[in-house]
Amino acid sequence: MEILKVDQVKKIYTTRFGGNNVQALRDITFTVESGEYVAIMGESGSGKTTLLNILATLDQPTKGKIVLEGKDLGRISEKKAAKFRREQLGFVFQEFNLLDTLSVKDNILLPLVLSGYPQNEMMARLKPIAGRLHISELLEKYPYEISGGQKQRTAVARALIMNPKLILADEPTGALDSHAAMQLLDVFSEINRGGQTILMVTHSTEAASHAKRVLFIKDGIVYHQLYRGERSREEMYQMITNVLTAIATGGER
Amino acid sequence: MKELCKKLAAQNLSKNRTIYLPYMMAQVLMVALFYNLLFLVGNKNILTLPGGESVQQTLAYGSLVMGVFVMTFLFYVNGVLMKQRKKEFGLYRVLGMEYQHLKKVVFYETCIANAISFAVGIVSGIVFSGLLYMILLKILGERAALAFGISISAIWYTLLLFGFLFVLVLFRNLRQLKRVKLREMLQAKEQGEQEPKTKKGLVVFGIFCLVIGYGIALLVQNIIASLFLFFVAAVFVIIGTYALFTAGSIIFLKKIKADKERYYTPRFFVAVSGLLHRMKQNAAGLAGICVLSTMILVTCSVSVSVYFGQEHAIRTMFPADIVVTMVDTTNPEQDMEYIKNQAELAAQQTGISVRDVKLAASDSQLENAGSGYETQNVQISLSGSEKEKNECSKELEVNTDDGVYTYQSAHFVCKQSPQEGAESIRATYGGFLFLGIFLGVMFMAATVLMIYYKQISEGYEDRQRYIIMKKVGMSDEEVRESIQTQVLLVFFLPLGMAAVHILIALKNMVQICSILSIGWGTVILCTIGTVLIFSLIYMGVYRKTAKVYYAIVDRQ
Repeated sequence: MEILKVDQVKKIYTTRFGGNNVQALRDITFTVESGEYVAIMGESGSGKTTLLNILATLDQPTKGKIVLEGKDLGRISEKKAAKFRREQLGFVFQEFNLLDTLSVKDNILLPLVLSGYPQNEMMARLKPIAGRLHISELLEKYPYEISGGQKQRTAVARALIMNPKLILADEPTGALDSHAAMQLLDVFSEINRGGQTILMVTHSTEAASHAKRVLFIKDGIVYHQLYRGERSREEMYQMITNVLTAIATGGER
Repeated sequence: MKELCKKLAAQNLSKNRTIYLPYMMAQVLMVALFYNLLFLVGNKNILTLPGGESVQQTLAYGSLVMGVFVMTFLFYVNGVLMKQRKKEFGLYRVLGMEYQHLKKVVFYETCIANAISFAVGIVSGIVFSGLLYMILLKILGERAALAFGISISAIWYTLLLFGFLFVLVLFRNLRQLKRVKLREMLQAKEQGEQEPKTKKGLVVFGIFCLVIGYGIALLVQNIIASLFLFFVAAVFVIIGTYALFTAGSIIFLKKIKADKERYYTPRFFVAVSGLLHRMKQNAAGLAGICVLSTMILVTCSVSVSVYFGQEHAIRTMFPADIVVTMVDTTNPEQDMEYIKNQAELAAQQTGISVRDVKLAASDSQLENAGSGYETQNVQISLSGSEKEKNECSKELEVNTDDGVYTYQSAHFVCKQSPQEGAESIRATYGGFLFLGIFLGVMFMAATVLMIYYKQISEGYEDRQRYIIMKKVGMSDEEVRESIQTQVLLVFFLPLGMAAVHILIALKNMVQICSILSIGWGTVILCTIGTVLIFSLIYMGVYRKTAKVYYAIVDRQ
């Protein structure tokens, strides 16, 4: 079943003093099926952050359509967009974006609180997720008391707690050491096996090799894509490297 | 290098103008006010006015209070400013500036900022002194004439005070620069503030101080003692306020947090957790705002009451328009009848009428002459304007040519009209009002500045938090609501507490005013009026600064 459809999306930024138009996205079209694990790769300036912001309803496309579960994201008001973001999407950011003033537990519960869930429902949802992400012992601690990997797992728990249709991850391993990064990617694979759709933007080959499909963006268009199929992670890693080399050296598709 | 340091200092000031401009503006205002106060204290023209001496004494006392306040307040605010800039200094160090260079930059910054505020302050002080002089004369009831003058000695004393302040500030800034480690400088604002501990002892202490302060204020019966004890009570209340705000607010917030049903709702969740973590540095500021507000309210209420109650006071002290004193009279009724006739004659000539004539126990004026005679007063009330009464008083003849009256039984009669005494009382009370407004304006400026800095520093701290919350799925509207809960709680707590303080202080204020023969009704009405007007101004300030806060939080 198709969960997300990105149809001929175009984004042009106008610099503040007029004149220069910068084309961040030229023409992006792709779809994501329910239960997929898609990585989007591209160098800095390729437009991947712009794409993610548009998917997250933090930004509007200049042209084109984005449909999530049959809902046109371009047609939601700011207020509804916030609610939509909270209930349909889960976010994992590079710099964790946890609130220092809230304990780990309260950080995870934040979206539920904003949506006005009752107490017992909150606790019922919290327990299994904290267990799955191995942070049950940390719930009463504060973000400045735990490690980077633990922070990112807290952020994943926060993204999962609303049972979102889609998890959007922006360079989730960017601020982690290699060990913590591996652990986090294992967590992602595991929740994907549980049926969770994940869309991850990254420029780490390691991270992308965990995905089931990799999209390559260059100069604002989808340049290439790879399906993992039955390949092992090592084979996938090699294939991604090849594509990246081809892109970098300007080789043919 | 020297040139570079100077340039950097000037640049820093203009770059940090959101935090420096209000500080400098407050300093300008305080320099100007202080200069003017000294200008009036040293003004010889005032001395020639009726009651001018007591006015100058009042103002001299006021300038002392103001000097102490200005020093402590500006010193404190400067500390807040430097804290905001810690990170900036850390960055300079990282970029390769040595402590020596940084020291020079800070030195020039402090020099430039202080020199500008002082110069602008003195100039505007001189410009406004004429106007202020006019206002003072008007309040004193004299016909106003614009007297433009520059008092060199006032400039000197102002320079002395602010020069001393400058040295203190400079010394502290440099010391702070030296003490802080580079790593701390860079992290200064990013360290996660830990959740503060509950300090039950401090709450008990705070309540204890408040109870003592309130107790003194409420239980004192002796009117003269209340004047002194009022200050003792004030000290207790100030200490109690600080302790309660620091510790009590934390306990209060933790209580909300412990109530899970309430805490886990959109309204409280973000606001309470944010407040709790910031309360440690917040509480002192809030208590400061509360104390300042109380000071404004007390000062303005009392001086306004004194001003509006002065006619009543004059009536009490001088119950009649003309008093004729009779010495050793054996037949007072008969003498009074004669004086009444004379008064009616005089009134007729002036074109007004005598309202009432009565015999009253003696007032001390003549007894003091040491004659040992028994005296009695005839009080004459007239209807008419002050000027007509004055004329009538001059017309009234009760003495024979040689000054000794031997009509009927009395040996000696003299008349006295209270106009002059009233003048002197009006002058003194007018001086009170003037000083009250003066100090009120200064305290107000201080309060506004504190509120402004609170909003700004909190805006910068909250910015990151609200960005995160928006990403996670909070709408602009929800963000605003949460900010409002937080800010309302923070802002109206000091105002509410100040209102309670003033309610308790009201008894003392009534007592003190009764020394000045001012009725309690006037004091209560004036206090209510002052509280209302102050609340309006406070809300206006809150609105204006809240806008600044939103702008910081919402900036893309």
